[in-house]
Amino acid sequence: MTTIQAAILGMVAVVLAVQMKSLRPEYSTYLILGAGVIIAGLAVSSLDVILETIRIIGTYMEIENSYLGTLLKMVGVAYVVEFASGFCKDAGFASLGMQVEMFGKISILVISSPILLALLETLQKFMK
Amino acid sequence: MGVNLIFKIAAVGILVSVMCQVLKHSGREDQAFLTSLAGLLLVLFWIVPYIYELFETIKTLFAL
Repeated sequence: MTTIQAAILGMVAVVLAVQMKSLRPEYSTYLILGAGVIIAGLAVSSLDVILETIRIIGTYMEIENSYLGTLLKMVGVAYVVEFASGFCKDAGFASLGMQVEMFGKISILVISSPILLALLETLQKFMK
Repeated sequence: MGVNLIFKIAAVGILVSVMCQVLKHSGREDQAFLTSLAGLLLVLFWIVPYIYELFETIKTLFAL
């Protein structure tokens, strides 16, 4: 499924969604949701190659595994939150999208707090 | 998977809108609402497994 096919898929979905907007507005939202899920599925399925290379790079540079895991977690949370809030905004409910984004930011902060503490501890060691 | 899901949703949308018009003009408002509800359920029935599969892959991929 090359990028060209994904692009065509997106454009076909948008054209159909515009057509549906006059007939039944809610069906254009379902169409966009369906197309978004399919294209996101294609993107994610071709993502495991990149994650594998990141892991290999991690082993070369002796980065502690938990930092890499947290980094990936943050990217995953950001991706899911972006997908959901974008869909909410497309459907016209920006406030809900903002709520989802806020929750995503908070969960990323929660995920990254141990790393922050570790950094401050090392800094404190240097200070002593 | 892929394009035919989008065409299926569009087809259900067009069918439901036509049926609703016919039902509305023949004076059966409530059945028109029920038809659109049925269309909604059908489309959701198709899309929810894909959404679940997408979020599962993201969860396993990023070790969330």
